[in-house]
Amino acid sequence: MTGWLLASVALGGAWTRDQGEVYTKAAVDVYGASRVRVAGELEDSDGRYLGTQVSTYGEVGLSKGHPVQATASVPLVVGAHRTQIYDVFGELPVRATTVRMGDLRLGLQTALLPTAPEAPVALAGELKLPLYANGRVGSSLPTYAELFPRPGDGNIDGTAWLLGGASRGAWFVEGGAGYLRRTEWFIGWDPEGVAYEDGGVARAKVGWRAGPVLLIGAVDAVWAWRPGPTTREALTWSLSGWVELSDHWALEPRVATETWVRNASQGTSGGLGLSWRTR
Amino acid sequence: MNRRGLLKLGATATLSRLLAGCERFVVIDPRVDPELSPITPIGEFYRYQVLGYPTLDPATHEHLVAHEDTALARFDRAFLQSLPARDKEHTLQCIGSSPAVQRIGNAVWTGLPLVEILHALGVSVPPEAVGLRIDGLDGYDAGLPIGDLPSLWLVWGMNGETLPLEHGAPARLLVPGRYGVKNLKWITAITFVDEPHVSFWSEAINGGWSEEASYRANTLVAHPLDGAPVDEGTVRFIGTAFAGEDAIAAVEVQLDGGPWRPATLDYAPGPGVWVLWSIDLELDRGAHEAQVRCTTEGGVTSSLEPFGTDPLGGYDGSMQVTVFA
Repeated sequence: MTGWLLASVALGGAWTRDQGEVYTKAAVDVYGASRVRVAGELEDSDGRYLGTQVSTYGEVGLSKGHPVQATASVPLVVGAHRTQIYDVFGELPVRATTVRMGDLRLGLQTALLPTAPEAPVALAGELKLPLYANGRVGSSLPTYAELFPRPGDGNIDGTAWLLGGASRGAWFVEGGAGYLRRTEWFIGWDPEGVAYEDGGVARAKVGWRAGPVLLIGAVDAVWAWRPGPTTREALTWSLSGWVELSDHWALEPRVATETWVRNASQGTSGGLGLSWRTR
Repeated sequence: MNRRGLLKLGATATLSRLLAGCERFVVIDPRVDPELSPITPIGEFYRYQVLGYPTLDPATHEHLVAHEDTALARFDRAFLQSLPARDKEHTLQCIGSSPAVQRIGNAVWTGLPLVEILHALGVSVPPEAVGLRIDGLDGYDAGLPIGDLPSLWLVWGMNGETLPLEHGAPARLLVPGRYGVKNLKWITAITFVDEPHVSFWSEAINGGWSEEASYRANTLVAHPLDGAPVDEGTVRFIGTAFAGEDAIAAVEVQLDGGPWRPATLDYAPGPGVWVLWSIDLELDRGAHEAQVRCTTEGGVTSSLEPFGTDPLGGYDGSMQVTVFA
């Protein structure tokens, strides 16, 4: 599991769509990491992790007058762990690859101040539902099951967000903070002794538009109120672009790097998305 | 079935497949017909240390012998090398060894029984001592009962060479009958204690390894690897069996739930040294499951639980592999 997958993705931002407005995106992201932080110490991991995530994301406005929007994200995760096993002869390099659906994230958002489009405030809720059972990851080869990357923590989480934004001319800023409720409700898996801590989430974004191009810098933080040996935490910085191709289509490149993690690998990702929206 | 039905069936199958997922395990540079050497080359001998490698100069590093807080003697590598050392063949297995992480190796060590070194230093065993506390420069420590003293060796050579730093130079301890967790490297102090010393790393203090750490009968399959593709026909399985000072008497293999068949003991020199075994199995096309158990001269048989029964007490399982012919 990587810090890369921790950031909330089923989150539309402070601006809530009106009824009938739609935004969808398909994206491919590649992530690489060779370091992991366990018990507070950053160390070289036993191997390299290379992850590819193919994801679809959508937002749709549901109501008129008082905007309410629904969001959903469905990823397919291809995780490859290059490492070595130790047998009687010594070290032997191996690669264990897992292809699994990741965490389904469903969100619902409502505008709190619908009459102020330049400075919106919204309340959002997000539910993370694993579409995999970690207990079955690696089950085809029990001896080396631990080497197979898991698509995620395998549990159900819920997050409540308060979001705000403002725009002036070519610039916009956006921020949000929330409460992350981590449960020990697992899908098809009953791990012993695994306990996750609730925590906070926060996001800050700044964007600048020049003609058909929008540049966005962002920082995402996920942390636990009481850091423990299993709860994953991460601070992720990203730079993304939105390049308008037509009235409806846009290309969305993105690079991100984790500058701090706990109980997770620390790496860098890059990806490209293609989005479609109503005007 | 009409076209819509076919599409629906295809979509359902695809969705089921996606939800079930798939996985692949690839050995990047597989070994071809590997042979197990009775003596493990230094470069292939496992190394495991929770606290990393210490920085030291083996030529000047001093070892302390003490009784509680009272120093009894100090010695260095030059003193050890002045003694008439002997060779001792001895297998070490990590208490964390398992089918997935096979940390076991056999070497010819050069050194002397600790009691002979103490005698050369003029140190007598304090009559009130009930145990030993061993400290390594890396910060690791271990406790041993005083009853172990006659069997302990201090060694400063390995396979005919000066003991390498990564294996504990200038001198490490060999503890017959106990997992590697008690065989400390980079010895700084050997202390006679009047109360049993419980290691910081043991189950009693931090839920870690067994404090007793006595070897338990276990088998490992070294080749073929679990999950490996193999040719149809005769396939040679090889591996190890070990139970510390309780010598291995027999190794048996069960193929696909059939009868237990005796494996050949290719190397079985006796207590304290591993057994290397082999067996040729006839495999037809398809998946095959082979499990290997051992029985000691003391009558102990390795657990049929392939991964062992207690990970913190040391591996005691009968390893099982599935191969695909």
